[in-house]
Amino acid sequence: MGIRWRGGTQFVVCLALTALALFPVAPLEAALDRFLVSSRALLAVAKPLWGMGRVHAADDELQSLWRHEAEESVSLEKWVRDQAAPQSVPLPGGITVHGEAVGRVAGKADRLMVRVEQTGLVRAGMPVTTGDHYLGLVREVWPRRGPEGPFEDVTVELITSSQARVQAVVFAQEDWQRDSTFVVGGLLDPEDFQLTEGREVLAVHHPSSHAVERGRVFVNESRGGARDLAWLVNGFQVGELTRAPEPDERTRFDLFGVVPGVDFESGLFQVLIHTGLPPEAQLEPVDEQGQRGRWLAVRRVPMIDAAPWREGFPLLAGSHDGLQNGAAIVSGVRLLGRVRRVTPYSADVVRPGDVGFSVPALALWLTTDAGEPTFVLGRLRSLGRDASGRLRLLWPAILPAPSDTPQRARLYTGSGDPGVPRGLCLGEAEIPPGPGPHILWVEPLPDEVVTSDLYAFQFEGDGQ
Amino acid sequence: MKKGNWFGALMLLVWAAWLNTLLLVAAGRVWPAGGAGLRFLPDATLVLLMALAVRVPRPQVWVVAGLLALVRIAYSADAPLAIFAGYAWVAFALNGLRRGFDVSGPMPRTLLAFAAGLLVAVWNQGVHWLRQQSASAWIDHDFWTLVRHSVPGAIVGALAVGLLGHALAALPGLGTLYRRPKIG
Repeated sequence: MGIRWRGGTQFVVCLALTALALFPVAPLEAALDRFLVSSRALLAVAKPLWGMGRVHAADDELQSLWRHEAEESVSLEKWVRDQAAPQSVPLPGGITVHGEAVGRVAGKADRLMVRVEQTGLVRAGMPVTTGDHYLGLVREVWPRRGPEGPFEDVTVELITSSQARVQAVVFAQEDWQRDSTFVVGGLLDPEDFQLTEGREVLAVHHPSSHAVERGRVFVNESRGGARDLAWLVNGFQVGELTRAPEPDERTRFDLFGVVPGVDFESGLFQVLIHTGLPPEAQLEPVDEQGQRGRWLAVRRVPMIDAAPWREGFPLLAGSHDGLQNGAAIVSGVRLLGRVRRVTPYSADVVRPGDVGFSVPALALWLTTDAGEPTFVLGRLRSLGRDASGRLRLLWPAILPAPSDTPQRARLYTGSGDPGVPRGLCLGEAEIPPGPGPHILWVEPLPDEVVTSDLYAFQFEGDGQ
Repeated sequence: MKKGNWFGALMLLVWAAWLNTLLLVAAGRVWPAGGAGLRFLPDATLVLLMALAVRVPRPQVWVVAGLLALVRIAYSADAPLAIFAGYAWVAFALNGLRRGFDVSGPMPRTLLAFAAGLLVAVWNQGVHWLRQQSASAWIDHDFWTLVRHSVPGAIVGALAVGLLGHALAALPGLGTLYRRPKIG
């Protein structure tokens, strides 16, 4: 047994491996993961025979803490679902279908994937909103069937897409500026408007007048136009009109943009699809409470990752047991981590303290002077922990928090990742005001180290 | 390949897996919430590699490194290619040094184990951070912080190789990887 490589060959092999480690090739990494499944068998063979089933259920204090977090999570879930309905715009006539964001179409950030329970009602061209805000139009509808019955995955072309357009009108100086109509769609560079990088600015096309510089922009589509159903959401907000300090370099005309009131990049959780169909078109109402998917009891191996800078741990369960890549691992309603690198009989769990861990989140205010009870944070990305064990989460703050001073909040998961159900607790943090990005310092949860009573979320569709 | 070598390779996998399990379970018990104490945790697989690589015939260093990299991959969420690359550089360096020097003594193998432990730890963390491109600009660690955090584990690993290297290499079944068969 032995490899008789010349020194030059050895050097080339080392260089090639180094290059492949630094510049990962996804298909190669996936193939290698499959090939190395056999090495994971070592983990199962050498697993310790002690300490596999430490049960915390008898701990009264922990149980009561879990119950409190669970109750809070349920009320949060209801509140979040209610946020899909418009607050200050009357609902247009016809059936509206509730949907939950489950991700983006692969490689297309401007196409939101929404899951709806009510089947047979949604079709392409229907407008989509969240709260008082216009989001875009339905592009495709994919009928699906899961263990809990049929459902539909709906692709929404967001107004941020370069192909998306919607007619709009400005409300300024306490009146509708009927002469100031234009078309909105696509994105402009926020730097042109002296806004921070990452802030979204929708492009304004063909303004009928350059007189109005500021104001609130609303959908104003005509019936029978190219976007035949978009008129259903006339009166929904597109954002705030803003004018760039410098004219367009190419055309030398004034450059207008619309700053949306929602975070299109990662803050879209619950939506409404306006069908325009009469109420009698709905055959039977569907119970939309709860989330699709189920929980699988899993056992962790009571050991840490061989890389001491990681917080993850291995699981003695894999795809054979129904575990999926990207699935949430919870204890009570606490998010302990997410599954990564699933093999048939084992899987790795990455934890929120691992650099790069990311999750969509929302804040439940713990102070009374914050106005609304919750605030959508969007996607948070972990930067690891500090010396005192506090979690450091990078928050882009595309929409700044609605307060002038830092406010304390409990962080919960939002929608947007199919593997992570909404309403799982992450911890408590001060939410800073003002435009981001910010770092959130999340206090560790009391009795955070849980080694048993673990559950993995089994979901429908593809994980991350 | 000789039968004894196959047996030795199998035993190498078994010992490496058990050593890793023992160490990682113990560390999980002592530091259940993680923390700075874990910086003293050595890479058990690398310790075994250094203990053996100074003794096995030079062409076998790559095989031992490859097998132990497989074990390390089983016990970590680190990218497999990063682990392979780190262990490959260790094998390359050892092979080169062994052409001109005897590195099997306690002092040279301790020093080499320290250098290897530091290199591999810094490399694996560096690769992980580089792969997190969207967050990397916000990670407030520089190269020297990374090195400083990796030193305690490298020291413990080097001491283990220096003090226990012979014992580790003499674990049942591993002798077939480097002992010459008896004649007569």
